[in-house]
Amino acid sequence: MLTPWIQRGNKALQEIVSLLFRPPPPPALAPALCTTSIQPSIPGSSYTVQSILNDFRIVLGVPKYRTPKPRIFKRKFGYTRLFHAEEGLTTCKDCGFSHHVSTICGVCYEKIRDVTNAIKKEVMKYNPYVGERQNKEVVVAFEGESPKSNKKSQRVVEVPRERPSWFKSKLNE
Amino acid sequence: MWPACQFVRGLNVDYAIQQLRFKQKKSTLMLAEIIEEAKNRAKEEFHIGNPSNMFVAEAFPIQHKMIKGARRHAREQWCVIRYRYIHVFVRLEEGEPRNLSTRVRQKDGWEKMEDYYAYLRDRDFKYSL
Repeated sequence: MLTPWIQRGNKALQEIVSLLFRPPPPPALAPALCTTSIQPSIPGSSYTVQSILNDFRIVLGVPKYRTPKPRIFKRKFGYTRLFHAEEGLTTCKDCGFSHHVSTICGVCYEKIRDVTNAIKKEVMKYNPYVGERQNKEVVVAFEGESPKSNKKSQRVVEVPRERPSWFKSKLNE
Repeated sequence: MWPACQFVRGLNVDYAIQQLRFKQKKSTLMLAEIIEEAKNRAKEEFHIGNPSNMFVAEAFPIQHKMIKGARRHAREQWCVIRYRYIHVFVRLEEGEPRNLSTRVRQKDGWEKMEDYYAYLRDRDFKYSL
């Protein structure tokens, strides 16, 4: 991920270095060039290769100091990185599964939610373009029950499931 | 996995399973299943009378194999994906769980200051009328 940026940084560095150190003059004009050490272009200034590298350090992000072991351990195993016990847990008296004191038992709720969603699915199966207002009381009839209601204010919804033991029938009231 | 193991060390077995199942992490779920299996084994294989009277003596993960795969990023950059496989070792012991009072977070300066204020304000004459 970092290699394109490093390549660009190196390219820029090379360009700047080439600007400062002009190409050597043609052999006919140049005297014997025996210098091996790189001299700055303006004599007396201190803009050497080292200072160029220092300026480019912001491009080549690198740690300045070794991270001490206590700091590493603080980050890895500090208080905020550890697991802590969940407080306020109780067991449901009906199913025996645990839940927070502030909530209801998730397992018991899941059963009720499942049946409720099935009922909702059947309730929503009406044609909105037909025009009948959906303001009737919904009464649920499960499998094996006769879906009849004498009251005009009731709409009977047939759900293709067995009646759960905890769901009392309103039709027989 | 290491934080899950560290969390569970020294805890009672049933309490550990309950707490692990409440966290939203894959490692805690795996460790909960491992401890349940260990508890069942203790009951069946080792014929321990009261498997609920046990605590987690040791729990640690050891890396086993690492299978390397590759994944492509933008601009034709590729990186290595490491699929790590671990062994998790769990040892249960019979008896009361260990004293975990050292796990409580130490008080910082502000809390110590509040305690000191409470002490200063709590001072009263002894045996007065």
